[in-house]
Amino acid sequence: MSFDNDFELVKKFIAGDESAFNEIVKKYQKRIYWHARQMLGDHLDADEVTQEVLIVLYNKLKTFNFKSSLFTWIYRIVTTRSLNHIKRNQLKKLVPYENASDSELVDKRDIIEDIANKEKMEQLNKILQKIPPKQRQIFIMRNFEQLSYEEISKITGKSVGGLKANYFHALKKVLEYINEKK
Amino acid sequence: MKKSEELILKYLADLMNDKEKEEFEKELETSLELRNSFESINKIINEFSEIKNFNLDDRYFATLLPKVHDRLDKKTKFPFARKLSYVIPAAIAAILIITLLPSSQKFDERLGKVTQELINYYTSNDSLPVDIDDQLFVYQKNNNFEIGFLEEEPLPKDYINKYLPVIFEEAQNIEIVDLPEEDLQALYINLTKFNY
Repeated sequence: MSFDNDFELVKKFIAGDESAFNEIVKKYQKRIYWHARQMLGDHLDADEVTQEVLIVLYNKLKTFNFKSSLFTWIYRIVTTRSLNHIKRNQLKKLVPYENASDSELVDKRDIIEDIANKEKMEQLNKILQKIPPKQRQIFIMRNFEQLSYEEISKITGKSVGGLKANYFHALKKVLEYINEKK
Repeated sequence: MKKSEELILKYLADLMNDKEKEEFEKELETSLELRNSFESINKIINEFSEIKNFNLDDRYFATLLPKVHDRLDKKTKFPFARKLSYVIPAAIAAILIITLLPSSQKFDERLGKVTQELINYYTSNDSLPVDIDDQLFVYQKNNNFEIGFLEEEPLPKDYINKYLPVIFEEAQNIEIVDLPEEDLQALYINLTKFNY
């Protein structure tokens, strides 16, 4: 994926060209969705976070300072939003009256097209959800996005050493889960 | 977990120094058992990178932008009501926390320190206004760090402590060393009483 014309698109949007925002969305929407999906484990939550990220993007794009790549900037929003959403879900679980109706309204809709892939995703998701959120985040960025530690550091603001340790613990959790299942 | 597996993970996470790495790579060439373990672990990890090849229903993405624009339109129509819906519970939560928690003065001091750490954290990477949550964010203005609403109206500094419960929810995302776990828990228990 080329990041070459990102700055041009941002400049156009700041100048009032709404179509530039649509272009940015089209370019990054799937990556935003996939990160949220892997972090949160289901389509509905991923959909909510994806929409939230795009809203924040629209509102804040005019303050983009061109010091980092647009992708880094967007990814920073996605990671923060995903972690926030996990936290909100955890908080909701602590409040019994809120949960009673929620579980009945769960929508089983999914947008992964192939049934075999859907099943595969369910299996991988079980593993992902065993990893604590902050480690999961690093694991996804390393394996799905195949980002370097330096790139992840720019996004998360964490030291490379800390990221390596987090990734190691995430790998350990994955392997422990696989070994348990054997 | 076997010692060899732990070594493989250390290698994959790039946690080995040059000497350890060299020794590991040498052993990988000579030990069939280690090589088999290495390959099977790599296979598992690679499955996660294959997720990106899964096809997603394009109809979902075709409706995404209209949904976002719809939500943006609603927000611009009722910005004040939306703001109030956050301010009122936040203010109630702040009052409750201040009155319910013991040794509040000491606690306030610590919270003040945490706020500063939070501001430092969010502004150390670059000068972008970094989103904290729907309602609040830290941004830079004339070389000062301000806390404001999404609509970018600055929040008076005196209010920062009052709105800490809202900001504080975000503190779980970062590593704050100064705040004892019990204070964090107490704050969380209070926060669960409100539907933000």
